[in-house]
Amino acid sequence: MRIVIVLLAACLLLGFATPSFAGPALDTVKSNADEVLKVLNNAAYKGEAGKKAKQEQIRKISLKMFDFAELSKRTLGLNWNKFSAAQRQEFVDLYKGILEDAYVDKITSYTDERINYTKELQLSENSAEVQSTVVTKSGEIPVYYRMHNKDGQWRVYDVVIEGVSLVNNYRTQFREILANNPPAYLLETMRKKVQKK
Amino acid sequence: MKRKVKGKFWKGVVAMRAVVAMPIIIAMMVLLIPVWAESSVTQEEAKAESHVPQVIAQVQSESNAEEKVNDDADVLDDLEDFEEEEEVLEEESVSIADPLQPWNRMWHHFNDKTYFWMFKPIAQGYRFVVPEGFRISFSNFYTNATAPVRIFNSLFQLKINYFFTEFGRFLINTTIGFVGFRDCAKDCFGIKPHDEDFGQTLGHYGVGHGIYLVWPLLGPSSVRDTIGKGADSVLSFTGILSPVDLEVPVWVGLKTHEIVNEISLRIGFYERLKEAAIDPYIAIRDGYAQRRKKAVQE
Repeated sequence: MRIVIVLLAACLLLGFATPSFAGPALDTVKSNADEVLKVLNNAAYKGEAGKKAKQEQIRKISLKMFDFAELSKRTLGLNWNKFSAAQRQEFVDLYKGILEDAYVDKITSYTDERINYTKELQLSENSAEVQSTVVTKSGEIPVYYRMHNKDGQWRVYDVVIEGVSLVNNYRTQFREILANNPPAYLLETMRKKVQKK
Repeated sequence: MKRKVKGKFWKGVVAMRAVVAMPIIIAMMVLLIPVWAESSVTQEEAKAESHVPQVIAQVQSESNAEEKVNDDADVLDDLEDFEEEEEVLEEESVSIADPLQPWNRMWHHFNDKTYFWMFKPIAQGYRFVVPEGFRISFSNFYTNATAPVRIFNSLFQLKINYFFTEFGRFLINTTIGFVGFRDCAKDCFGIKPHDEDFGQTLGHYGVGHGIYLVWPLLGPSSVRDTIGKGADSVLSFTGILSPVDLEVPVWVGLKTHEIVNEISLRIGFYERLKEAAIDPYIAIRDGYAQRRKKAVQE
């Protein structure tokens, strides 16, 4: 009897001691990140060919994790309306290409970093911010994912690394280019950048 | 002669510090208990939430969620309620005046070349020779040496909890952290660092950036943050590596080592940033504005 009470008390205490911040958005990020880690730790991928295969897998995961159309809209802001339908489609594809080139490579070079998911913040009825920290040997990097829920699916529309929002950062760059140039010029610049890879 | 007296005076101050330190440490231990308790709880929470577990049950959801990208045309529609939308976006975006852009771009270019031709090769050689553990310890040591900057600026902003955090960190790391080579405050007690500087203090009291400035070798800054750096270097005179205590060549040597050591821990950061950007100059400027804004807010 005493043991039961002690156990119950312990369960209660544990329950209070570890408040759960988890929500659907956090779970989505976590399951995607776990998938990425699974790919990274997969011993079957070896050498240069294995690296390519890994990158291909990660690209696939990123497609369902990120809402690239929303990301593009938010990045261009008002300028989005200056783009024709075809230009919009191309912009989304090129932007996706640039982001993947920049980050997929980086992710595949990760070795012993650990990810802590701290909490999920409700931003609005349909959006949330998932806060995490990447723990490396020389410090901790806060990484926040801003996500929205569309048709029951949580997808990322912005990533904030150490206080720097990806969308805001690219918006400033695109805005300066579009201030003096037509959308076609921006697309050309982006095309060149993606092709260089 | 004058220098010698001055040196003696400061050595006296250093000796005084040691005598005064012990009672202060004891007092701080008592005062810091709530801070420790708080930070260790959050750490535990973080640990509890920590995952890098190999979730094998994660069966291929890749295949069924495939290519659900932007085929649906409505995704690419006009921003209808764009005024409202744009308002939200504008509110979030941070800008910094840049009337000297051509001048700044010149120094940006100069710094870029200096990095690739000078600092990076030196730091790579250094990295090859010195193991990472040592480099992290050096970095801890230099961070601890500038503790007064964070302590005083927390105080200036009346952020009492950060003041205690940083003061406690300084005392712990200087003593049981072997003059700061080990960040024992974080590793042993879970007291995480908090960065404050005089630029943030000015920002806290409503002072804006003025204009964006790129300094040769020092990189991105602003009028406000340049003034802040000046004030902070005066504050750092009270620290362990005070220029007052040291001979000039020793101080210069230590500064150089600090810079090379820091770069050696960050090789690849700048390269990636540059690679990801459409216009690296703007990307860095915007990143600077965003980071500083966040730093002021915290």
